[in-house]
Amino acid sequence: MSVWIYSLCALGLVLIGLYGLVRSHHGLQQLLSINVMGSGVFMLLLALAARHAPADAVPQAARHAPADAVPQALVLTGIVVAISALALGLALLRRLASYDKGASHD
Amino acid sequence: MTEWVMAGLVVWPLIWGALTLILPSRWVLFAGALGALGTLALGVWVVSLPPQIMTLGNWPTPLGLSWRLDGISQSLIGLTAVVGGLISVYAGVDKSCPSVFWGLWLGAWGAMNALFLTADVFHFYVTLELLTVSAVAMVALTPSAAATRAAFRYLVVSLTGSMFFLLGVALLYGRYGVLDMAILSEQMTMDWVSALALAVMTIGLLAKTAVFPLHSWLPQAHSEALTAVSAILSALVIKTAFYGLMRLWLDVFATLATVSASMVLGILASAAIFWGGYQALTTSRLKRLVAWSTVAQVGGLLLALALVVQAQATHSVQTASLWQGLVWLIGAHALAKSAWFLAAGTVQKRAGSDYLTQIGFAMQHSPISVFAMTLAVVSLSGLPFTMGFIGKWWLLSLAWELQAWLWMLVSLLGSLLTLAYGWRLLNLSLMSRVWPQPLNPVSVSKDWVALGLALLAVIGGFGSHWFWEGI
Amino acid sequence: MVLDGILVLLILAMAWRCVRTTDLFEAIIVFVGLGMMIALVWTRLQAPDVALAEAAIGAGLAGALLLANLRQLPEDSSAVRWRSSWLWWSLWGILGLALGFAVVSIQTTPVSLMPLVQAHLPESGVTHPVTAVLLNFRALDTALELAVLLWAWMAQRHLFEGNFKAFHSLQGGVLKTTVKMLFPLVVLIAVYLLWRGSSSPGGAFQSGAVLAAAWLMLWLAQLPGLNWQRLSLKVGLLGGVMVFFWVGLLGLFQGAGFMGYPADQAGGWILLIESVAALSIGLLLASMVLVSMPNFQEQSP
Repeated sequence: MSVWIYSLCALGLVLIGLYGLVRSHHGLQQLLSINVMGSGVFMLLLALAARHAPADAVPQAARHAPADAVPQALVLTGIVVAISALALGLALLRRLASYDKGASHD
Repeated sequence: MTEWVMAGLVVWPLIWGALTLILPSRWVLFAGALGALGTLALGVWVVSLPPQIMTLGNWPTPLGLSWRLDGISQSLIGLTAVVGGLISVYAGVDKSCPSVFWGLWLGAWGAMNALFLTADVFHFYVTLELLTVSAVAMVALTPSAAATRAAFRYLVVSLTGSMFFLLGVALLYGRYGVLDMAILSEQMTMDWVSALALAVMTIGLLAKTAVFPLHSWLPQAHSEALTAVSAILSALVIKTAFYGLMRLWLDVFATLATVSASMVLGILASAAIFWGGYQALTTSRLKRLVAWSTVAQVGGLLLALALVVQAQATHSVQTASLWQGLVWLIGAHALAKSAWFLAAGTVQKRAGSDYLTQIGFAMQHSPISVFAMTLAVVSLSGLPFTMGFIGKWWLLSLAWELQAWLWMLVSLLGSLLTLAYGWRLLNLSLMSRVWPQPLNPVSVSKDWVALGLALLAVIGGFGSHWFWEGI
Repeated sequence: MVLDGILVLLILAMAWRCVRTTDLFEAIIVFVGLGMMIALVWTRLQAPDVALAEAAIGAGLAGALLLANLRQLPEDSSAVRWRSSWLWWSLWGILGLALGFAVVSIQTTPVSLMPLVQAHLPESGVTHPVTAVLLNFRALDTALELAVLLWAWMAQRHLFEGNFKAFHSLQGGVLKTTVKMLFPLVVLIAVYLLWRGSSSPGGAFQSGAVLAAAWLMLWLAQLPGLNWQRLSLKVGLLGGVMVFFWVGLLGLFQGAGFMGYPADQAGGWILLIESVAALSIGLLLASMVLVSMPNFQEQSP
């Protein structure tokens, strides 16, 4: 099934995110890398959810099993947590920038 | 009734913490105190409840979530209650604590309670995230660039750790199709997927526990934060990630926890003990010294975990007492470290400086705090007659039974190092030639709170049979 | 199959570009694009709820947040550079190989919680399985997740205390008129998404994100929208978490267990919780973006 290709894409995203985290030059890019990693993990969860529901199924066909709802719920939770963390990280960076700006004026 | 107490453990602090957002600042302290008091009472109450499992919403696992109350979670909730309560008293008296501290602290406390109660791996992740957001924000309360930088670094490391943990959760769900810890431990088999899940989840939690080599965020974050925050972080927040490691290695993945795996933990633990101790011996700042001590002590905890894993893997020691020893060590460290940080913060406030060379006069005029620090150092080194001594005795006798001579040696050297850097600090109060300095007025009640925690670290050892036999 | 392959290659290429580029603006734009592509993947994987949330929150709101903040961050950062060495890279490689092997081996394991979900779906009060899991079976997960959102806001509020000054729109009349026409439609969409959530993809999070977009539109067009200093708005921020927990305790009182509902009332309670939560989510997300805006006027300490 075509779902396994998304599982591999997921781990590609995890590895790219990890790479980006170590090699980033800027705090904002570190936050982006963490989000990329997160997307990778979410993709793995959703690929697992769709394992037994073929991706090319006709939506209303009763024969095909629907995708697993539990990982989908988990990923929804994860998306909200990720944006909360992103917002907090950006606020910290902004606060840091204002301190540094203040210091350079002394 | 018990269900109300357990629900209250999470709901009470979160509701009061959320309310501080809308209350005018006069009332925030009141709300914070009410929240802290209620959570303290519930936390102590829960220790007396019989062990049980509560399914949320009456849905059977694995469909729904379940809360597990057993000796370990009860003890840790109770510990968090007592230590958290006393730190709240300190924060209430501390004038430099902004009012938003209470909202954040209650959120962290509620998250910790939920974390200790949960028996679901994904729910563990969510509670960990709530705790991270609150803890990072608390570090950033200090209005300095260094603190904000430390907070950002803490956030990045913590989030990465969470991502690794979530990756492990995904692998577990893919392999077993359940998220409940009890069912997972029943179905756990030794295969590559499970081993990888254990590995990535461990890496994530090690980063959050600040174990060598992922420890570098801790000294900055814990030393730049406000005193009450440092105490909360070092004594309580760190322990939640360690608790996660305990549950993973001794419960969920018990089938996979082999002796060779425990060696890896032991090596990392030893590195943490020595590196942390070395840094504590050579640093020039007070709170940094205490923070590096946390790195070393966490290494000690991990060493104990490695021994327990080895014991469980070889079935050579009775299993029941193994958990108790770990919880005891956690408790001893939490009490001693919180006392040490609070006392150090008080001295720093008086001296107006964080540098060891400038605090001598303040130390000589803070007898209560110095006494608290002394008791803390004694307990952390494992000298009699303290909780730390009992814990260390348990650790060394376990190592003796397992014939793990190397770990015994490491543990003893760790004690020596602790004594060494502790002495380095306490020596400052005994020096004869110190220049008089103007001291900032600091409320004496702060000293007493620190002493209270330190005394608990000492007398907690007496009459503790109920703990060692009860779990 | 070919579509999937192209999508995967595109996503990996965009992710690589996002983390490799040294231009932050480009990184953000690529990140938003990546989010949209990932939303497409979610639809391919039969997860429309998640696709909606990803597009609205993961790509849209995240993009707005990032761009709003970008202006105020220096090009070279005072953040941390991590030391990398051959040891780290070999560990990274080993992790990749191990993950690849593990992922391939779990492709066919026939385990899932879905049969249990479907078996209990009739008692849950809703007919859409994802909503049932989120709001009923694993309700505490969602409640704590709302708490994470609220606490993240609490932290930002402390870091930046001040006033939301009006934004001076360059478009003037055109933007104002357009927003005036669009605003009711967007709110309607939000309500529709909320209502639909019990039987088909939708729900509080997607609805909340759309509401946030609506309020941000108002603010950008300098229209009188919400007075952010008012107490009622602050109460609205807390509403989601509060109502969720109060209903949870009520469930305990009624004998349905903590965070549970009596079987015949479940649908009603879930709708109530979702409505208040959608409002809170919308307010929280909008506030987070507004606090980041360059025109946010800070109060002097």
